[in-house]
Amino acid sequence: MSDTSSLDWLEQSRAINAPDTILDNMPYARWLGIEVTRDDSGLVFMLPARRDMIGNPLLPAIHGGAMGAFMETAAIIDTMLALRTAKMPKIANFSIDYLRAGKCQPTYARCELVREGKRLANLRVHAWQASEDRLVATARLHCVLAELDQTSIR
Amino acid sequence: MTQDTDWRYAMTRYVKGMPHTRATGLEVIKASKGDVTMRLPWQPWFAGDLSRGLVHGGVITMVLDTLCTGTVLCGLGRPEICPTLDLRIDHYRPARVGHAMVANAVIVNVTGSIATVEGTLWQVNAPEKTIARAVGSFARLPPEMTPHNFERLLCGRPTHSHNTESHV
Repeated sequence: MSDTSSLDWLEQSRAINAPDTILDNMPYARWLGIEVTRDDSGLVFMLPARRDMIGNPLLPAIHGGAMGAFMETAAIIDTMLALRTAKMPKIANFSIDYLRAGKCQPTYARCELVREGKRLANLRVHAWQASEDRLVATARLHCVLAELDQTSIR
Repeated sequence: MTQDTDWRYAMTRYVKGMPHTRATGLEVIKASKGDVTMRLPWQPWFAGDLSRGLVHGGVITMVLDTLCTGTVLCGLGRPEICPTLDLRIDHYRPARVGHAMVANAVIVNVTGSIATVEGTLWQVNAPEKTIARAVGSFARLPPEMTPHNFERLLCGRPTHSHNTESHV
């Protein structure tokens, strides 16, 4: 990125509705290998099955922390694109319920912006593997929505 | 038996035994029964926001999830398979790129069905400033759900055993 102090990338991503431009600003999400596609209901996020995503090698199961990181990333990107105006979402709290062990298979996630206020947003995320009817985890979170000209860090 | 367990050794086996945490470089600083401290040395790909120089929140989730799970493993009478039910993370302030992260967790309550763990994460350059706090609930399963060799898998060969029976 040529101008790292600018948040132009966020407005550009929103203008062309391109999650990839957002991912370019997120090295960790790129390392996880997160991919984004779109269907009739909105964005669908995908965490690829990769050996270094495994936590419990005995099952083997996707690492719970990697699952959480994936769902958090999905929520941030979804929010950036879904807000009525361009704002920078900052996660204030995040709570994940693990419903069953994630196998070493691609994991998908979809987000729902439950409430968009002026300063705060509430989101739900759900994650599944083989079938969206059989969830592996759900999460909820609150984001603080910072104006782009007031995004200096605390 | 677990009184003599070298929990730091066991926790190191635990983080190095998981492909994901091995890939991130997570290491164990201190561990005693139900009280564990881990450290994540800085890597450039932990960044989550290049434009503002911030660490990705997911890295914090990964560290606290691993740490809280490990704390349960070494916090019960003997190690049990305890699946994570839920984990809540409160982000107090953003973590800045370029600095290692350290986190400590303690087991705060154990019932017959649930173990509860609390964790705190900070960065080495400002230990007094909490970056995030976590609370996790872990399910305690019937004893037969834990493989009989689980304790040995986790703890390995005790490093300071006296080997008094090695000739038997």
